[in-house]
Amino acid sequence: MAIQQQSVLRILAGILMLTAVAGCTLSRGYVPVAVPVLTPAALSQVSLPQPAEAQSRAYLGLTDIQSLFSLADIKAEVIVIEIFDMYCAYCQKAAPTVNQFYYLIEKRGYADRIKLLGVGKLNSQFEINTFRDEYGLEFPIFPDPQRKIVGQLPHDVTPYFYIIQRQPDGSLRVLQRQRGGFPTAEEFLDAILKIAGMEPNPTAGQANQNKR
Amino acid sequence: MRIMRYAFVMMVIAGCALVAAVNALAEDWHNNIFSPGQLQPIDSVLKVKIGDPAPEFTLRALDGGTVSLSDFRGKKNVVISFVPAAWTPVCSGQWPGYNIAQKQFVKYDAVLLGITVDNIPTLYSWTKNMGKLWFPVLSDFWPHGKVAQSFGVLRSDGTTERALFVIDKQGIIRYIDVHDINERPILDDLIAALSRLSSGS
Repeated sequence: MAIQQQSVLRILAGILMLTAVAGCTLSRGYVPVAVPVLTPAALSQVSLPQPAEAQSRAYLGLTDIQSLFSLADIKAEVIVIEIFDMYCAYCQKAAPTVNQFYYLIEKRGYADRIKLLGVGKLNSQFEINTFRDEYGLEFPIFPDPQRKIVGQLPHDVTPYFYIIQRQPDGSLRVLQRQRGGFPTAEEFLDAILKIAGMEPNPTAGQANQNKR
Repeated sequence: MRIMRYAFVMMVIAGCALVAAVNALAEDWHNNIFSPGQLQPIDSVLKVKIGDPAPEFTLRALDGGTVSLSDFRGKKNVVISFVPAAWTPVCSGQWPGYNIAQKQFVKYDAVLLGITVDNIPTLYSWTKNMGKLWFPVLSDFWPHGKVAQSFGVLRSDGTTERALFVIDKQGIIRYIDVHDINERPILDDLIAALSRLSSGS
């Protein structure tokens, strides 16, 4: 009888454990989408308007001033793109963590290797300015009122993240797409470093000293 | 003793599962939005025009009180945002945007009143996923759509148009945007209307 009771309890514990794992996975707020549907050729053709601010142009390494630039023009090994919507409550909730992620890239010494930019889906310049002001964003964000940019980047909900890596031959490849926010900036950066195969930066300690 | 240990472990796991499931449901708001498909852009006839006095109303608010348009007479400009229905796509992504634009409304000495024809429990459940809203959310549920009807924005299916009205401190309508129900009006136009009102032009 005691053995039967223990078996039942073990089965129940197993079911509960599975439920907890499934629940925790969902509660992380994102489900990785492992389908890099964009070919390197299509990815290299994704174009954006030149940022008006010199600071954003400098951050992205855009020296040749044209009306449009492509993702391939960005001087970085890894490009992280957030598709957001100023009206989206999830994007608002995620904004502080995304901003922390931007600062963490800098703090850990990856500022020259990993670049972050945002695209405001169906948002005007005024609307993304409202979003930027509300959350104190310092990384480049682009208005996209006509979906000209996000139309080139398949996605479903917002926020949605593209993690793109420059290959040794200079082409670009989508490493991962992700819907929803992320739990912490540290976890997100660590995950990116891992999937991009980037070594921990040995100068991070020095870089930390004078960074926020 | 062993049974007790198992029971304890199971209780801990059950607690984790419950918390995780609740979190998962909260994060799953996207999936709770009903998609009505493409609708007729406008399905009503306006009963007011720019320059008219706005119809007076008193409606139940989400916080349990009531709000009357006359509460703001001589004190604040008023923006009324009618959205068609709770738990539908464009509506669910309209007020959260206004929620982070509070400074713009304050700048032009305006309050925002969000109105739908949904009942209070529905509005409570829907809006709590938008974060803490700084503006009153009002229910035009009963008599159903009476206020929307008075402005001429009640659609034939009992929902309202996606409509914005700007009313000055004297209670006069200064801006009307009865928008295509399938699209979200951009914030630029509304704030420009408030700016014009402020500058007297």
